[in-house]
Amino acid sequence: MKKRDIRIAILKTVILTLLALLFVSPLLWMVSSSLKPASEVFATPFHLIPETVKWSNYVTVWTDDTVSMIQAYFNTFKIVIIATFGQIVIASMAAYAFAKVDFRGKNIIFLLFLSSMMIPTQVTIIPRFMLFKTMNLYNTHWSIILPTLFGATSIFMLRQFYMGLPNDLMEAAKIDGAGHFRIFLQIMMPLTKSAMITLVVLAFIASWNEYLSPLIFLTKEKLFTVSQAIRWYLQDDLKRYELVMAASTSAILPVVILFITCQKYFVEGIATSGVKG
Amino acid sequence: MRKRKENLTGYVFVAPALIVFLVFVAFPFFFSLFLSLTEWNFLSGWGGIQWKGLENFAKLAGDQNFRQAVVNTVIYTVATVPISILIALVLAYVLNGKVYLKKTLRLAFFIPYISNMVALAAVFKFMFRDDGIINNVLLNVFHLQEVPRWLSNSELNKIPIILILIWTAVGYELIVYMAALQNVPKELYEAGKLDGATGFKQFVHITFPMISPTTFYLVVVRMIAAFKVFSAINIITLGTATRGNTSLVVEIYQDAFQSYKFGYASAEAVVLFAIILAITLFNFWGQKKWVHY
Amino acid sequence: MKKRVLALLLALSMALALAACGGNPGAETPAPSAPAASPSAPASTAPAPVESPASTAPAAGDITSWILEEDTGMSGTVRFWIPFKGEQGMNDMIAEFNQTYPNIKVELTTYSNNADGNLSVNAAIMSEEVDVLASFGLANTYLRWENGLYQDLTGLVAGDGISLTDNWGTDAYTYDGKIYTLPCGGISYYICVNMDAWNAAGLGELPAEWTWDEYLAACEAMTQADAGGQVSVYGGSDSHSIECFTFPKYQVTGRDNYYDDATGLSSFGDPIILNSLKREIKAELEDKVWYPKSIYRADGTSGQDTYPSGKVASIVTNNMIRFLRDTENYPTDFVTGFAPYPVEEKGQTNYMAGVGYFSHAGITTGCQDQAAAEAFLKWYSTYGSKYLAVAGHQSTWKGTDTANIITMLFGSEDSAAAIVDVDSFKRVVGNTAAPGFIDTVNTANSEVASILKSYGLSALNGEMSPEDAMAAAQAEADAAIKDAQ
Repeated sequence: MKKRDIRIAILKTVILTLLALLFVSPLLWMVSSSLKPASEVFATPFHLIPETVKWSNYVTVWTDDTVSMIQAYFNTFKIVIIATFGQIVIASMAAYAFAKVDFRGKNIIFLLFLSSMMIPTQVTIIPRFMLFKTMNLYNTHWSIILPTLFGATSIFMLRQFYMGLPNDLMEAAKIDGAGHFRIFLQIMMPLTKSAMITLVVLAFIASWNEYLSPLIFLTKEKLFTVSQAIRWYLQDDLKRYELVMAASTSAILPVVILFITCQKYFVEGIATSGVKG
Repeated sequence: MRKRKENLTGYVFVAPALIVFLVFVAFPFFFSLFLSLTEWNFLSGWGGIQWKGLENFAKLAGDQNFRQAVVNTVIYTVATVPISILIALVLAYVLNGKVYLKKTLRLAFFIPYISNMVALAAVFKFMFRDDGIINNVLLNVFHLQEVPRWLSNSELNKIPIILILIWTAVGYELIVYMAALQNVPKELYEAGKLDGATGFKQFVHITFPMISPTTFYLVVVRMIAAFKVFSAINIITLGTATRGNTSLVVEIYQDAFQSYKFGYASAEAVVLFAIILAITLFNFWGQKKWVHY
Repeated sequence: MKKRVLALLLALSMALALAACGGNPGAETPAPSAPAASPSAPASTAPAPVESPASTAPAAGDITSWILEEDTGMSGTVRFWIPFKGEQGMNDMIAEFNQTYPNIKVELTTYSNNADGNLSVNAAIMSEEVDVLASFGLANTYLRWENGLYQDLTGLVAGDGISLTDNWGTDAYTYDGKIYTLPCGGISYYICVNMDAWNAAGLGELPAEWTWDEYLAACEAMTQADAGGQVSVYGGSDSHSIECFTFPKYQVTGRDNYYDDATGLSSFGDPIILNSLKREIKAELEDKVWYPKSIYRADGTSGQDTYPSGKVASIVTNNMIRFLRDTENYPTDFVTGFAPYPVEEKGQTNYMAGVGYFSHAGITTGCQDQAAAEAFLKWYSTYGSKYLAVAGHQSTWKGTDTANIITMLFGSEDSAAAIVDVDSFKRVVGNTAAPGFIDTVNTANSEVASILKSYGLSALNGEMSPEDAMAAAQAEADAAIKDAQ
């Protein structure tokens, strides 16, 4: 590489680093505030490094009697895991049928599913509220999980994937006397692993950030998700800003760590969702 | 016989998805359409539904709050979609070239996207307080006499909301763009070089046209997302009550779950659906017309 | 509607009767007669000589014989929802209830009195999770009357011969002629004064009555600026809620802050309200002697965040006592004195000096244990209501002994003296002898309230002129009221 190129690369790196710092600066402020005593959060002049580091803020938000981050994480992961895996399994089954099984009404059902991509969940939130009240699902985690079990995008993407798998595999298995269930479970589904990982990533990010539904369907503190826990601290009468920041940091850091460790899958998943062709 | 078995297998495989679809998507959707033609609040029970025809929609046309919510939503869309995409494109282009610390830098831009939106909005809410760090900087660096009241002024209030929407969108768009850039065949650049296309010229004549499907995709996806904006506004405006800082979904939420006007809010939801539908159809049509592979 | 008119006439006739007895200070002003009769009868000392034609049994003035059930040994469970926590008087209330009814278990649920909290309450009622509910604020209560979330208590009230006016001073809180809730909770507005700041400014004795101009002058005297000219301590502050600038309408006419007394349409064109709004804007944005309401709204903070910490030297409030007694979370290094809510003009009757109605208790339609719920509601709305004072509210029940509120709040007068000025406290806070305000019109209440709040904030921000804001609010609110009629 030429000297000039190296110099340009260094210059680019420096500019990008400054920009990146600007990007994460609100998060630095958040972490810093989460370790301060209440009186220092809005004090002037501002210190990035707290004068006295108060780890106890974290103890408070993780072990609070009414709304603890432990409980909120447990609830959120319960919802995210069941919703994500449920959606992938159900979508895989449907996608397999659409791609490899010849049954009547297939095209109509597929078209129905496709058209539902145009219906944002926000549009159906009112009837769902009534539905959950009638079905006694209001104030249960099922009210968040059940609707996410249907994922039109997942079905669509997986169907494309199954269509790309050669039929020879299937025929060979059929000669051996295997039915559709065995073909699906033992031969086909394992082959879609990469597509499934992509969808797991997308579904994970979507249900992790789900906010409107829990806000309406979960009103008991013990059922709160991570997002609701932060909102609860924000609304608390005592106005403990440092606790809001400790809760926010607690909500963000683990996911960042998860992302760093699984960076490859995240990046691949998101890139696949965007690059069509 | 074989055909019947094949049919049955198909139904069994599709059944779980179909049941969830019918109960939690199709039924609520049609019920929403029905409710938009009624006056109802859930407290009065199923028997309290009153048929109103198109009255709700007539009212919507003259409703100041609703108009403001639509205008705001359009402002959020217009202000966030082009800017975030432009930033992401430039960043992706530079990051795709010769840069050190590539992965670390990409991570820094990406973190806001994977972070919990409510947590980020809470951070912004505090930073933009009257005595927050933003005003602190403005006071000390620019020596302003009067600090801007970001959170209670309905016009200024849009700024933190727009900033947070851009901030959280860039990470996603960046990753998608970087993947698209890597898919541009190297030979094209080589061929371009012979014609004297380097630097900015290369970007305009080769790179940009090649990634136009991605740009189009991002515009559509971000537009749909911007029309559904809720969490950031809900948190940043928590406690304030100016009519300036709503959005379509915020308005639906407030009318339905704070004022208990379910019929009216359903009519608003139908308008939201119509807008999203229009964007999606525009997507199908535009893909054929504008995107060159 | 007819019933409501009847109730008004009834109140009117009682007011005249009272005026004849000379038992009410408010009766001197001729105009606002209805509310004069309302919550103002002196509490326990002398039962007001009010005769309610509606009551059949017990004898007139007897407000205790109906309360207890015949068999207090009955067993059952009551799920009671109220926005107050156990340590805010509710545990003590339940303990006292259990001395009379040892076998009825009361399960307390504390809900937040905001939009989210009230939505979850309503959903819980529909899921039959609530037996007895105390609703806070008329808008929330009204919504529940309107939609049948509360049981119709008319039969129970008539059957037991309970006189609403004898017991709680009013029978105006009905919907469609039916009684759904008992108006047993009230609030009183007053001004908390940081005595250190007051004395440092050399302001002398705390006033027994004063005008807004006098209060604002005191605020100016207590306001402090730092070296850079920025305000470091605001001399005063309005209560953190946006709608507080409408309260002078209560103060002058004694009723209906949102509605015009003559037309029943919105009151937002009333000069009293416009003046009050202008006064607040001047104090907050021009003179900078009040803590700006727009900051309260933007930060989501309340009086308890500014007053105990010394950011403001005085504040208009209805519940500060709740926080002052919570010395762990809201420690103060000064003594708080109390002054009455200011009046528009010297010599006016001050309907904000007494106790106004605020919380309404009833049995929900999702109730699972009717007998126990009835026993509890009757007890809570009478003997039990005094515990509302621990949370900074007041009982409106005529049998409540207001003398020992200080002891209930602080343990003893001695320990109270370290935190509050006992004399002015007794004079001002929860003064059931002074005239109070009442709501007689409720048309489209929730909607009118939200219109007022949103335009009010635009004016308090400086985004709209107060004239424009109130004109727009009036137009929208009038349309909403006509729509509902």
